[in-house]
Amino acid sequence: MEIVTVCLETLGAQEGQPFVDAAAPTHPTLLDRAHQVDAAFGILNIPNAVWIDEHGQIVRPVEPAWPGPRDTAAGSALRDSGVERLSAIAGQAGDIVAWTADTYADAVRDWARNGAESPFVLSPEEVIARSGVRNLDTSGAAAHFELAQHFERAGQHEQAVPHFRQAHALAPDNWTYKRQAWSLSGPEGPFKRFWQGPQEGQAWEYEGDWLKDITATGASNYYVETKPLS
Amino acid sequence: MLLDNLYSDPAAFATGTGWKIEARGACKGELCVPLPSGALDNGRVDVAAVAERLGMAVVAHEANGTWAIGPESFNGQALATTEAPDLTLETFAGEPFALSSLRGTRTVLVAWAPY
Repeated sequence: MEIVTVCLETLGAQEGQPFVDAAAPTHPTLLDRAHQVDAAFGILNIPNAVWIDEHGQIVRPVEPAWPGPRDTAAGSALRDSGVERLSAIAGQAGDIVAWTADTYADAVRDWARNGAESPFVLSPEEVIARSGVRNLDTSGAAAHFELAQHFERAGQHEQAVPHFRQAHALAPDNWTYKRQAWSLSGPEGPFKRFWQGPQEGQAWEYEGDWLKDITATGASNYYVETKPLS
Repeated sequence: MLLDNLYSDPAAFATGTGWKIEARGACKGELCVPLPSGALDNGRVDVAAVAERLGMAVVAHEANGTWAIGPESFNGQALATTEAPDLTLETFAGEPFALSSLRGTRTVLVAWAPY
C-alpha cells in the first residue's frame, strides 16, 4: 500500500517545503499548484483523503482524514503568540471535531491487510453517493477559482480577488477555496498564512474570514460530518 | 480548464477536463454520455455544447478573453464515475508524477496545505 500526499498551494513548493522537511516522509510528496485534485475528487477542506484501489477505482471518496486536535508546532506557535486573533484561531482549532479521528487509521490498516475484502471498501454506488453535491453553482465556483489562481500566479492579485470572491459566494461550504485565498492576503510576518482575516484599520478583500466563518459555522461543523466508516 | 476561445483541441480538452470526446459521446473511464450532433465540429470540440450536456459551468473573464470551464455536474455528485482521475501533478523536486503510475498499488491520497 502507498500513501501519497498532495499539497494544495497556488504559490508553489517553497510554501510547503518546511512542513515536508519537518515530516521527512518516505512516501511520495506531491504538489498541486493548480488545485486540480479539488474538483477532480470533490475536496472541500483539508486534510481530506481518498482511497484508490490497485485497479484505479475510488473505493472511498473524499472524507476528513484528520487525527483530531493535537499539539503541533504550528498550533502552539499560534496559541503562544500573544496576539489576540491568533490565540482565538488556536482556540477554535482546538474545538474542531474530526468525525473519523478515532477510527480512520485503523480503517486504513484494515484495507492494507484485506484489500477488497475490507468492510471499509464501499460499493461504486456508495462511493458516488458519498462524494458530495455538485451542481452548476459549485462547478462555477471551481471555474472562478481556477481563474483566480491563474491571475494570482501571474502576479495580478487585483484581477484574482473578484474571482476568489465569486468562488466563495457560489460554494460557501468549500473551505479550501476560502483558506487558499485568505492565506494570500495576511499581514507580512511569520503568521501571514494563518492570519486569514482583516487587520485593524485596514480594508479586507473578502466577505468572510477564518475566525468569522468558523464562529458562524461552529467548530464542530468545520469538517463535513461523514457517515460511519463502514 | 482555461481557454482563450470556446473551441478546443480534443486532446487538450481531455487533459483539462478528464473527458474524452469520442464518436459515442463524452467518455470518462467506462462512463460515456451521448452528445448532440455537432459537438465535435471539424476536429474541434464545441466547448459550449459539451459543457451544457455535462453540466459544466462556463465562466468568462471578459477583460482579456479568458474562459474557465468548471467540472461536470450532470449527475449532481462530485464524482460521476469511480474511475480515479488520471491527473499529472509534480513532486516537490519538480518532477512530473502521474497518478496512473500508482496502478497496481492500493493508495491513500491525502490532500493538505500549508495554510
